[in-house]
Amino acid sequence: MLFTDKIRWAFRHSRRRFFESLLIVLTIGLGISVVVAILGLFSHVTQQQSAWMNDKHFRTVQLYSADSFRAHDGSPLKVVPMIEREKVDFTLDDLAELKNSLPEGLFVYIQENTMLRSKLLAGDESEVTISNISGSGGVEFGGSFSVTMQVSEEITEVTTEEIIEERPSSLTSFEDIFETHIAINQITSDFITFNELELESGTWFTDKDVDDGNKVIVLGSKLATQLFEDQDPIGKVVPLTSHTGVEYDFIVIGVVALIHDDLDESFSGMGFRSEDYSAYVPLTAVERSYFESDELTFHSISIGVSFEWDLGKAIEVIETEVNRYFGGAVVVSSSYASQKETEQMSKKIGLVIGLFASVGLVIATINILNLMLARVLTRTKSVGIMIALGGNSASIFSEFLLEAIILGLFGALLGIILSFGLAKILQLLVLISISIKLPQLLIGIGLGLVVSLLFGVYPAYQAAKINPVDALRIE
Amino acid sequence: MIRLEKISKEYFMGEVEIKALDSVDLAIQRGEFISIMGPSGSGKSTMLHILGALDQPSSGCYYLEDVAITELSDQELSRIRNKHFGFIFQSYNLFNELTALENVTVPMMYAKFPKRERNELARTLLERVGMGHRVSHYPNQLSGGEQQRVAIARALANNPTLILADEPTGNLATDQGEEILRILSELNEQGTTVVIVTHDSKVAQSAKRLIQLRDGRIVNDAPIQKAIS
Repeated sequence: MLFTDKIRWAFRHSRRRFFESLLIVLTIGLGISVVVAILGLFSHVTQQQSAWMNDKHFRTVQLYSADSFRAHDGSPLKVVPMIEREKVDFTLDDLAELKNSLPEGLFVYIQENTMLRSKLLAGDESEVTISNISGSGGVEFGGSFSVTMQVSEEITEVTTEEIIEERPSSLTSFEDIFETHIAINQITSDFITFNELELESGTWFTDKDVDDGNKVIVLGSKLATQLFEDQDPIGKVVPLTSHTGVEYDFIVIGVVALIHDDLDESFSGMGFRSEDYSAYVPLTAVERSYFESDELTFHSISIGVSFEWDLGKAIEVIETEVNRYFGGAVVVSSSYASQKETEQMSKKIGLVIGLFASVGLVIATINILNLMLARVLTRTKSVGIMIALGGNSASIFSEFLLEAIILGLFGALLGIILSFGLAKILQLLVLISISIKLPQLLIGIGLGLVVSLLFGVYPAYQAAKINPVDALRIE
Repeated sequence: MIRLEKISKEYFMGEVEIKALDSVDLAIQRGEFISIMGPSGSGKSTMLHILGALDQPSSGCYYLEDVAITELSDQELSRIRNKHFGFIFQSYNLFNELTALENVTVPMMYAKFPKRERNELARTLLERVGMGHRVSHYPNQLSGGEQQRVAIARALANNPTLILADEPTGNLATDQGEEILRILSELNEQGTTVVIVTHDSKVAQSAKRLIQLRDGRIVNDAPIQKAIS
């Protein structure tokens, strides 16, 4: 028989038992749709993983004094007690030592952020002060962010909302701060290397500038325009007022190339502004806030992991080195563990749903196998006639199997269509993102094929075994 | 053309061994019209199945055009059934889901004829058995006689060496039965070899040679006139 004839033949038989065929297709379709949707979920999680793995924020590891650090491993149910330890304050010597002992591709730096008032923005009469906000703010992966407020010797984690609600009365809004203050990144040189900050003009400050505390400043692209409009900012003076009220004149030595040309000031109300509005100064150039001790010490050291490193491996190396150097008084904190945990959690959930769907699919397969066996029984005589007319066991086998495969493929097709619907529903109801692309679709079709083989082979084999003489005797 | 040498067929019914055919020798020449007669259980159906390569003998040799087909594989046997034999059954055995035309095309489908060619041929064959006006009818829309005529057309599909008819008139009214026998005689006159298995002596008489079976043995093999006398 020609292949086209076999297909036509299979369609005819399926059409003859239309309702039964429809049920089979529907059953397979439902099972496959769930599996494809779960694969889509996995794919989305994996995509997110590669996205954050390529995000410098996630590739930055922080070292904190163990005394103030509540270990966070991403598990929401585990309460980790504060560890009673002696406080470690990091010095520039620690930075240099770590820089020397860690292998290449790990960038060790200190970054502190502050907002400093500038006469260029505020004018002399400004009343606005925000001397009590400093420290390192960072975006956390949930979308909210936290700012470390130094109100007393203790460090308290607060959310944006809390800050807005409980902000000191002298502050009206973040908008006002941005009108009078410049976001200053106090950094050491590895920060620049790790973040690959390109200059539009001028030069970066050097390690020596950091050591000497030189009053030089590199401006963000938009800040440069804001301050000096069309003039060349290089060599210009930016007056800044420290938290203690001391006024400095910083000399502009460079302008960073535009980073986000698509972001504007609009989200400054959220407490953040594009990096293009900030400036960079040597870590030691500005006098520290009231709360710092006289010694030049820092809360944290950052280590940027370059892309040539596997993040997990790099963290291991860093932990070993940090433990060697600080002897357990310092913790290594990164988003890596919690991110991994979240990821594994969604994978586990997906796996469980997938398991249920698979069990469902297996049950469906067994049911369909039963239906197909019944089909073979009702067609025993037909098989006898087919053999009399020129069929043989191989052709009978392939004809029945083809029928099953066609049902399976239609099921897969329906499953794929349903999976898109399912993805939409899940997105709307539980905000789970699912990305169904070609690989998932191919797996869906493959699964349809496998299922159809599972329920098709045995009945086809039974059909092929039919003895024509016995079959023809059936009235 | 066909030679059976010492063909025996035994099978078991429960624990009882039944000898359906017992060392049968038979030769069939091209163009013959043979009736195989015998009471129930005489082995005539077994004989037909073995002749049509649907069943294998327990022992003995079956030669078709000097080819020992007892030695052939399942696949080769199916090709032989398809090319050399046309079957006609008592209960017509048409596919109910196919039209008359499509039923006739099935053997040609197995012979891998292209669709257009086999449809044309099937139409011609249906016209030849007087069913040219019923090509698009399904079996359940046809009378018994009409269904059997479609079955004859189907048996003729690949221009077979031999037509094997198993009680072809068994389910038909007398006039319809006579019509079927007339068609078979006509086909024989046009050169087709026909073997009819029947227990009806009237039907048997339409053939030219009569073989009588009893207990799996040929007890009589003679031209019709002699057999009657």
